[in-house]
Amino acid sequence: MREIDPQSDGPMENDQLTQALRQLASSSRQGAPAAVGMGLATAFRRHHRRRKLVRRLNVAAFVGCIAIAAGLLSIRSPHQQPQNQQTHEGSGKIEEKPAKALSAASVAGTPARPSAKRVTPKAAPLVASSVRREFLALPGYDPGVPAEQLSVVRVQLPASALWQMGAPVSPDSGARKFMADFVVAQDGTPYAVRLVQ
Amino acid sequence: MEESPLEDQELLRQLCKGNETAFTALYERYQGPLYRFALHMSGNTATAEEVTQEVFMLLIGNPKGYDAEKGPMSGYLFGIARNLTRRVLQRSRLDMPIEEEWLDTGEAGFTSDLDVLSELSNSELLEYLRKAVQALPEQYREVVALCDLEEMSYADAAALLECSAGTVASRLHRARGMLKSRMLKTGLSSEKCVK
Repeated sequence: MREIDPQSDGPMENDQLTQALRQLASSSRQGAPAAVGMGLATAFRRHHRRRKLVRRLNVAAFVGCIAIAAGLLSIRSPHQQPQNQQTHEGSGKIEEKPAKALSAASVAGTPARPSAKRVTPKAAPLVASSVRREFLALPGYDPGVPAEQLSVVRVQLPASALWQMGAPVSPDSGARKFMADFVVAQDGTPYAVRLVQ
Repeated sequence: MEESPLEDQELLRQLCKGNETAFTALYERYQGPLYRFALHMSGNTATAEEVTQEVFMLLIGNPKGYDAEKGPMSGYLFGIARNLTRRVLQRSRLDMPIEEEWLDTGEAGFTSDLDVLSELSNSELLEYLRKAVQALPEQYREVVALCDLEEMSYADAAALLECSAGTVASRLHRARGMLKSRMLKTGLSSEKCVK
């Protein structure tokens, strides 16, 4: 590794000086005292112990944050779930709205249908499947009437008539007839409807 | 000082992971040259120890500070040692007085009684050479310490000192000239040193 200085003016003297310097270098081949090395090794261990601790604390903090976030989400979810269910049911039972519309119309005494506002998807089934086997309360339902005063009447009516009464059928069905069970009071007021077909 | 950059990088990678064996290997490889460099530059063992310790403390604290693309590990460590040494020297103002002190006392002592010189042992002569090196101005002392005493190549020294290899050679030539004249002034020829 040693390089000869090309600019030396006196080769012999320069060589002697180089030898002298080499001797000086070899005479001072000592390194740092052992205490320095031991101190540094201790510092190294301490540093990495601290680093590991900090890393673990960071991981713990991260996990804690995730746990808190999950906890907050789980607290909020019971409130959100009914909304989701309502939304889901609303999209599934697209024919429940006519019942409410009918009730509003009958209260106001106007039999006209808000047909212009209704938007029915073309791919929607004629009858919502989830309401075929269960009675759906109609706007005139009175929960105070005892069960023994009620009776079930099976009728076959056009879809438009059923829709006007609040039954969950599509108005697009037109003149197509459906079999339906009506829960009626003694005075003939329909309280609930169930589609048989 | 034999360098194996790949091995150095691997050791440094292990050091980052907290492998103490890797740290010890790096320390054993570089502590001697760094310590001696700081010692030649400062002439003070306490400063040399402090600098050596500081260099490795910095390496422990920030091992990723070394960029392998910028040069070898030795250059990086010597660069830190050089900066630290300069800072210490500036702080303690050891730089200027050494030359004056030594030249005053040395010249007076040896020119007055040349008979004593012949009685001096080789170790004493080397001690005077060491002092002559320490009395050199800083920029010349650096190149002597790196190229002559630590056997670093001109290219590595140039990279470390942030100058050209030609500048290193020029400084080294000038430094040797100063050393020779200083030894002659004191009546201590380099021939005597190596006898």
